[in-house]
Amino acid sequence: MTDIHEDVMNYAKVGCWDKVTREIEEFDLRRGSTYAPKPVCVFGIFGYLILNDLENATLFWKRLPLEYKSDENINQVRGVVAALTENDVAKAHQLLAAEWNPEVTVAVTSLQSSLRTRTMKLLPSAYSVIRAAKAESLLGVTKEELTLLASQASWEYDTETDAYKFKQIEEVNAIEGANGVEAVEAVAKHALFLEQFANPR
Amino acid sequence: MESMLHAIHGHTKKETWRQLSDYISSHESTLGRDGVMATLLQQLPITKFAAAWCMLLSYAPAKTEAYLTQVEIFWSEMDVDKVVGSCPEELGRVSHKYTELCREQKIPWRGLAPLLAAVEKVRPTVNHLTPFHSDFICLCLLDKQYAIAKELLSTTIYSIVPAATGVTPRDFATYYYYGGMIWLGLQEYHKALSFFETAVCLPATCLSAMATEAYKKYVLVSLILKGRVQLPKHCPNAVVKSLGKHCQHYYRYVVLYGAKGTTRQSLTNFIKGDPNASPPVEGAEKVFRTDNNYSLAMKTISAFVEQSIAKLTIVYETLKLSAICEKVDIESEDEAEKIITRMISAGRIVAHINDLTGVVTFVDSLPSNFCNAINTELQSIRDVTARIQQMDDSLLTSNEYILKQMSRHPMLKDELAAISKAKSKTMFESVLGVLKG
Repeated sequence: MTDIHEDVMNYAKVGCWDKVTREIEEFDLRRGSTYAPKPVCVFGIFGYLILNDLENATLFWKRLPLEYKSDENINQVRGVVAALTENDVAKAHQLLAAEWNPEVTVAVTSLQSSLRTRTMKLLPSAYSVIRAAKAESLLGVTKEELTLLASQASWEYDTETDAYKFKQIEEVNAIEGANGVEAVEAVAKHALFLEQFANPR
Repeated sequence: MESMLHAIHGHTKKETWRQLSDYISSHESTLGRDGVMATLLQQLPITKFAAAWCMLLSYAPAKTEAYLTQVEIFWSEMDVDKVVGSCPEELGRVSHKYTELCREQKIPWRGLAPLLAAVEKVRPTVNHLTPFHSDFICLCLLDKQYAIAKELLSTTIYSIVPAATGVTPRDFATYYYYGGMIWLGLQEYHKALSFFETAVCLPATCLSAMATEAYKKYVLVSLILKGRVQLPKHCPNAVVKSLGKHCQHYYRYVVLYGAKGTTRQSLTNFIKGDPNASPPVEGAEKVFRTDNNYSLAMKTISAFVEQSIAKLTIVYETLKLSAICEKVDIESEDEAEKIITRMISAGRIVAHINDLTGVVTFVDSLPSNFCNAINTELQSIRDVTARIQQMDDSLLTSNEYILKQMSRHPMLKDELAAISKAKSKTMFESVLGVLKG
């Protein structure tokens, strides 16, 4: 196993995906005409997807040589990139649930978890009501797993319609991040700064 | 060869750099002969003859791999102060020749590390622009190394100092053009727009190819972001007047994009043509493809759909997905739902979809990180203001400004006449002291 391969695997095992992509970028800067080993490239693409950097995942795939693009693992992860580019999260989960090389299991699991976290955050803000079946496909989970996730997130389940309801966002009166004294301090600081332009020298 | 060595030794000792440069340029053909460059460079230790190395490399033909190696050795071992002080133009020329050779030989990856190291070595601060910047970004584009380029582009350029870095107007224009293309590839449209705008608005007395290409991309990115195009007022008149001739299709596309009653289909027909029309209409696809702007042009159509949906939020509180499809010319409710969730996720609109009834409710709401966003913006404004204040102070206390003010002041005219006669630094400094006091 080459140095870069070992480093990438070690970072991937502990979930440091920003370091995975960083290592690969450093390697790419100085690689000359040799490319990183194929397993490293697979982890590179996964790393960008986990970090929600779809553009760099696509660009990384584009600069791989032809013989790498026909590799089974790279081809498989390319399918996930294509699904996410079309914003088809359900399809991405289906592809991730398929059979993968055991070496990339840690990456697949991390990406599934990352997608799930992002979707869990998006669903309450994008939907007021969502059918359970749709939520299952968007999260890539079974009915039982969805029930558990929903109860942890305090989603309200309607048995009649088999759908989950979310609290609608009211008009924001208390702005997030505005804590009384801190807000006054920040406003005072900005007012002092702007005042100097009212009295030019 | 011996006479050349002798001349180089002589000029280096006397530090007559202009004459050395003229001498070497007059012997360009000699440098092209086999083995001459290698022999010359071997006999000139780089620590003592850095300027000569720079001039030799800037005039030697760049055709072989040996040239690349020679340049890399030069960059890693050169004394930056000596080289920039003596031959800043030649330093830039070496970088451009090196990059051009990497492009011709289709080995852009070769130049990435050496150019990045050269950038870090030559620039006095991270905010200075050097000739190496644009060459590095160009090779990153060719090798699709956008992530590496992003780091360099993320630093704002405040200082353009040719005497300190050898940078030229061409380097400035190409840096912003290539940089804009990197940001486009990363889909950071705001930064891409800013970069293309800078490239178009570079002070000029006539239109350049770089400004034309930058403008074409500027138009399409502006449509994606804002739905309209408006060049800033400081764009040179000579550029604005000449653009129309070279960007006719783009002008027509902008007019169509902003017209009432324009639909997604009409924009698609403009780009791809309409074979069903009578007579059949040829699209602008060929023009966009020739300019490598076709995929960007197609993105304006997706942006048009999103902008149309954003306009609906102003008029309607609730709307069915089917109605949205009809109004915005979307093929299916699934597609409309995907577009709306994408817009919600990106923070462009605040809305809720009722999956059971297919009704979308639009909400007037502040973004959740409103306070932090305002704070960050104000902090960056304070930083820029401090910088401008610093520049203003240094201008006010500069010799040129003070002399100009003195020349206008009737009481100080005699003093000024005395200074220029005596050419006395001490007298000048004493007058300066009086003025500052």
